[in-house]
Amino acid sequence: MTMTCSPQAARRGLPWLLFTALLAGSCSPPKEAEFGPAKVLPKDSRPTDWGFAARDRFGLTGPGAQRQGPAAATSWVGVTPAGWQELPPQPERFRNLLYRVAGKQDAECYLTVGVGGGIAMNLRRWYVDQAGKTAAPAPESLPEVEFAGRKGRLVELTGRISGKDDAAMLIVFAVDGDRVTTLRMSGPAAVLLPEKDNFLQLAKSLRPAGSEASPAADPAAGSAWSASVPAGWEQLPPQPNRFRELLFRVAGQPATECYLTSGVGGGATMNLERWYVQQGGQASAPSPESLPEIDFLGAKGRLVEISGTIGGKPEHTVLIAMRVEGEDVTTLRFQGPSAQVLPQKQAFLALAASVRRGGGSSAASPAAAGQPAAGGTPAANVTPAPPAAGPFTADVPAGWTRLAESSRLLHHSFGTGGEVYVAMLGGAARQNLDVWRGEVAAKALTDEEYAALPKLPMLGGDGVLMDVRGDFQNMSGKKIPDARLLVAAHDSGGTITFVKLVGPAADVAAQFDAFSAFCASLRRTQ
Amino acid sequence: MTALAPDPVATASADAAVKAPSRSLVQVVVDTLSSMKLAVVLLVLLGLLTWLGTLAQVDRGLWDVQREYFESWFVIAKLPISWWGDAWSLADGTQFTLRIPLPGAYPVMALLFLNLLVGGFVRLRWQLRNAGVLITHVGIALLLVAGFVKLEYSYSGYLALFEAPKAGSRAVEGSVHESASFVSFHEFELALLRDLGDRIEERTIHETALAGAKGGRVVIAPADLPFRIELHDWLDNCQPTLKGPNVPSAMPVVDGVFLRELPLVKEREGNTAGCYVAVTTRDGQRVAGMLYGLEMKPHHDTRMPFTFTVEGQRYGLDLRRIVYDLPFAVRLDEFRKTDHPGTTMPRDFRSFVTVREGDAARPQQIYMNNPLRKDGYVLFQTNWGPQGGGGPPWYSVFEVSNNPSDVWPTIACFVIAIGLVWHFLVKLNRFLGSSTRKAMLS
Repeated sequence: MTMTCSPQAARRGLPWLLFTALLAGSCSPPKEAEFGPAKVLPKDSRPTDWGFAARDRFGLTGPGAQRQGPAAATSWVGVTPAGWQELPPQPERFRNLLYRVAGKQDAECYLTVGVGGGIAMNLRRWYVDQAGKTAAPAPESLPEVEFAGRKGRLVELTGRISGKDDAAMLIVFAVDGDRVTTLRMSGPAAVLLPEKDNFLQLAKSLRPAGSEASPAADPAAGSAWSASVPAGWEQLPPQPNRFRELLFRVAGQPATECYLTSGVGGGATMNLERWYVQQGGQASAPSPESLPEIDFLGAKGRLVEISGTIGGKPEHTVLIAMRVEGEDVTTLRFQGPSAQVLPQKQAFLALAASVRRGGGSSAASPAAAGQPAAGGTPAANVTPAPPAAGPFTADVPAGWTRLAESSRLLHHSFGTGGEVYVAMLGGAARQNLDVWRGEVAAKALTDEEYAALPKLPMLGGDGVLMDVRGDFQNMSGKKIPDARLLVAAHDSGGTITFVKLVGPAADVAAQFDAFSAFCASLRRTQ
Repeated sequence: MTALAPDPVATASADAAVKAPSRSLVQVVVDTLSSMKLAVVLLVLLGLLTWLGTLAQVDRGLWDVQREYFESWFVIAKLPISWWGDAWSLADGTQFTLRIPLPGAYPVMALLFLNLLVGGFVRLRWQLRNAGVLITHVGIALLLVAGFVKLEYSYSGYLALFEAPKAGSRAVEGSVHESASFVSFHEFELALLRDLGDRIEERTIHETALAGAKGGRVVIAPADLPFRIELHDWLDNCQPTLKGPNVPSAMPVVDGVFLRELPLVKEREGNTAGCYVAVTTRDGQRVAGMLYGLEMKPHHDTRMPFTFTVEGQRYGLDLRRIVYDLPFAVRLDEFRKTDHPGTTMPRDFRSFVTVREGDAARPQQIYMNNPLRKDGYVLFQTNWGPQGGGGPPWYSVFEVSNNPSDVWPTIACFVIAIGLVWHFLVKLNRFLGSSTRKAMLS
């Protein structure tokens, strides 16, 4: 559409234009704002969890209930192929495990756990953006391979990749919703392609640390219970948010369901009332003592058997193995159409007899797994990661106390408020040292000061030692007046390993030798 | 209203005024405001706004349209002409949309109110035979005032609660069964929280004051606090996403996470805002963070603000849907849904709640047309979940509103009814005693 405008019309319109511009200017959003009046409320009226990092606040943990960061970096293991070299993980570069073909600096292989973006976006990046292909294939068209105990897909690209000619890229990936876990190897094709079998073997061998199989492969994983699955039955993943800590059904009969629920309150009488009267529609409930005894949880239990209309469903049967401990009732409940449940009664009793505490990995709640809770809301309250030693071990001096709940590596306390831990960071050592100097209000190191830092033995080489004193205060709020900060830093080609010790100056003076010995004893386990 | 109930005496008076050879400015204003023509124009405009506003909801959400058409002073209404045939499509195939400048419903109704006042109360003669018309005018004016009070002084939101665990059952971890606050459906606020141990100090800013953070920066520098806050890169709908090696992001990355912009959802309550924040202390220390306004009730009650510590004092910044505190607490004891036989279509759904105020507690049922009214708040049964199965435990959703003019429309309707009945009776009486009737009978 074309518009014409005469000079006279333009002159007439000029004031309006100015007025409009003035109006628009006056309507632009303000650059400053003010809070309303403060009000003080009881703590309970605003339930608040303070101090969580962004990824924990938003429930963005990786698959398998592993946190990102240093804890996640050490939570996967794999069998290093012959002729390969395992390097310290670099979680800050999304390398949860890192390998290299020995002697080949330009062929790198690494595991990245649970990055976002979805598989379509990642495939487009690999094929189109990095390898210059016109389009990315559908994930289903890629060859299947074994990856960490589950099914994965293989991407194999050769040619010009990320600007390098005669390059190759091998990627095995597995998808969990929007998150993709990859084992990726890239480098010169001449180096990579002969290593393809080793790469696939490594992909197959990967496991979360401490587990025999991946959660996806073993439905019992994630449960604190174990049981022998009867012949003709199948075990399903537990659903702890529905109080199904073990879950089974008769194979091919989806209307049947058998599940273990532990620690329900109310005692035997109230639960029996609920089962018999409310759910079973019967006039009254029997006494617990009148029920037949069975073997359940390695001890004596009782068997409930109700047939008829159960929960509004006619011709149904529910069998419940029950064990009472005080007010807590643990049940194995088997329900479904009577024609399908009753023939399986003996199998159910055998299953009840086989149930034992333990046998799976740690109980995984949706919150712990960072998975959406009921209703699709992301779980935000993340269980703290287990104590981490990471790829390091060291001789711990006497008088240091391990902080078991910390996610930091080799985190210990000493004296009155002193602490020491190991950290691995990217970037330059000096830059990181300057950040920590800011915690005691010390100025950044000059070139001369940095060059003059004393050396100390660390990780099989030399590290530098920074020793600085001042009032300590970090962003998490910890304050130590007249503190002394010791930081030993070792550069291993892009990854800086630090040992940081801070505490009251008097305490630190007493720990100086212990700190030096700790640094000297520090060594890698992987 | 003058347009609905023309009175011959009033009309004659108005005509006389119009024909007067010279009028004062006051008289001109009174004549204009009381004009029946003005009433007709205003009613036509209201009809037009209603029609165009309804059409606009095809592509846009109710909240947006309501603000643009009905709560504004001026609107450029859009009418897609090509709905009436392809001939109106542009050459490139796009839809031709007619843009019609109109006053918003806000000034139209304000003028209508003045028209009623001036026309009804100033120009109409205060006689017994006009009493019905006057009462009707009072009723309609009250209706308009109720609308104004609701627009300017009411607020609403929702309260979602899970059923409290019964004896022998366990609660879903973290779920909310009782609450003394509710949250806005649509609007966000930034809350600055100060941890005082067993208490929390809270200050808030409405999202409209933070609009400058979209594509710019908004600085908040509380005079009594030792830091200033900068908000930037505000997104109306977004999702925190892990930044991976193959996940591109033009947005800042904090703790390995960035805010991924999402397309706006038509219904505003479907959008979750987020933004970046930087806190700078007086001595120049700076810490950066990220805020995301996801509401997690009733699944989780606990908020996780962006936390920072300055001079030994812990603070939190939380972007959240506006929180309104109630002077009482509501606990959901049971939610009961009854379906039509043989279907999953609910015939009735109701909540059994306990209202707690201090030590006093009383049970109450809330169901359709039976809201809970207390202390100026009204709680309506509006929804439940988990939809499509998944319960028990169920959760129940109540719409909560605080509207000072809550019952005024009801009163207005009664007043209007009384006025109309009165007026019709007067007319009937006049007709029964009129010569016309006698002539008809003879």
